[in-house]
Amino acid sequence: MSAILAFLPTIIALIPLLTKGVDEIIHLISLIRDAAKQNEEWTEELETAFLNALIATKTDPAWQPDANTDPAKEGQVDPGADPVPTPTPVPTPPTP
Amino acid sequence: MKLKQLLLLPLLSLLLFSGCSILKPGADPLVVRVEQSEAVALSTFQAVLNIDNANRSFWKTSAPPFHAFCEYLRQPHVVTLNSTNTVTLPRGSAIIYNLDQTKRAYIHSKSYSNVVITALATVEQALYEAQSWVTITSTNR
Repeated sequence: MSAILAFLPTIIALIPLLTKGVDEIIHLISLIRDAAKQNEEWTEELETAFLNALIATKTDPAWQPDANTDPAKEGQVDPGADPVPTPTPVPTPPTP
Repeated sequence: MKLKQLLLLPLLSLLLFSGCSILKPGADPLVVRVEQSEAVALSTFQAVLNIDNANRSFWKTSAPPFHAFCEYLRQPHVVTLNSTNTVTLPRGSAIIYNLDQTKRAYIHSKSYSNVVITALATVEQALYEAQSWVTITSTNR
């Protein structure tokens, strides 16, 4: 009983994440099904809409790295920082 | 493990039995495949990043590799919009954008299919990792 009580805050913290995760997965499955039904090349309108969606990720909060969202670092300017990040080769992503 | 398999069963059956359409005459299968991968990759990356963004501090402490993968997708990269303009995109978007540019070059010249396949492999590798994380974060709770 005490073990359950000890985990209770963690379980409560997980509930909103679980809800968010399920919503995301349901949405993702519907998008994958739509993609599987594609039977011709994109039109120019679809191509433009997709590119706009890609470029919109630049300002999406979920796509911002921790360094840009950390409130402790907000407003601080690193004097040695390069204002324009230079392109780097894509390394191997961390494996699950 | 059994719980994970049970949870994955509806997802897999939905994907397997939803079926793929037959291509219309004139549609290049490679281009359609690239476009499908681009759409699925963007949606999957968005889903993974939204899950992480819902509580970054929780994932950072409870599942550091998952958060590290999300940060990997978020790192800024410069891509060339046209001959004169560049834009900084998150890595997840940048690799999709590069694939799209490679696809467009292939459509116009029809001579770079190997380059398209290489760019496609890069996106699909990241996509595979992201889908693995979606499964893990959805079932290991």
